[in-house]
Amino acid sequence: MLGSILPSFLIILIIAISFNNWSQLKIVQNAFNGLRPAVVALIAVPVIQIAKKSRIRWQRYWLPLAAIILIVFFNVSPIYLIIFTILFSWIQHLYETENPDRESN
Amino acid sequence: MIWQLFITFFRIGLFSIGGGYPMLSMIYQEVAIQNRWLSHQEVTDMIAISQMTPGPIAINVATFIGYRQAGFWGAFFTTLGVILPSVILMLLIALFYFRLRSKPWFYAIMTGLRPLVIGLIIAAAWFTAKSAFVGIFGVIVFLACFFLSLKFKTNPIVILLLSALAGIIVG
Repeated sequence: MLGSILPSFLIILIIAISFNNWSQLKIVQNAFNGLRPAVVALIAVPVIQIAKKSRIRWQRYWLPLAAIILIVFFNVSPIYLIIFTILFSWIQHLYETENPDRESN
Repeated sequence: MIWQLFITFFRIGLFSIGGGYPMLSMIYQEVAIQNRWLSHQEVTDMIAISQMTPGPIAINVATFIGYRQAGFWGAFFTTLGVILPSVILMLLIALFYFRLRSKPWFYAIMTGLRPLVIGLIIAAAWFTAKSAFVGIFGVIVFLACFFLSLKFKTNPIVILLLSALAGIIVG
């Protein structure tokens, strides 16, 4: 555990210590102008991969949509959304177990 | 101050489901909006640096912010804070996972969380995009990287190096 954390901890520490020495350089700022949109792409691609893999029931599309709106526009913490989703999934599961004929896909 | 840093990253670590990307939206909220430790753009820059260095993004961001705010011990306690919940949870799950896995209610909750993870990642991409798209250049780099990653499964490091180079060339 410590062995896998320590190298990255030290690398980031060195970057953080020296940050003010190079972060204002023109060449570094230009490089970051290219890096930032690349980061957006690297975050966006897994969304498509996970969505394909997890075969979401169409009824469940409201959940990610509501989550995005609440987090981005209303600054709601994902913590509440995680707790809500756990409770919701559990209650839905109980309901479906007690009413097997109502189970839908 | 150090306690505030520790508890913030402990909370982030505790609710990090589905790996590094879903928790990024929480990092933007806690670090850039609530506590104003870094600006949106600085968090984005930090994510870029984290993707080029070894180790999980969340831990790298924690270390960096801890150092910027409170020096070495700040870095130490933010890093500890973010890994502690997963160490505890991993031990618990290692003990109970095989018993839990066969429980239908556990499976239902795990399946139920998957769509939420997708929402959390899109929210993270949104926060990142807010500070990333400066003019048409940003849009072009985004589309090129998206295409390279999705169609050709190009290595993230290669994508980041190419886009940094593009940024330097364009000026």
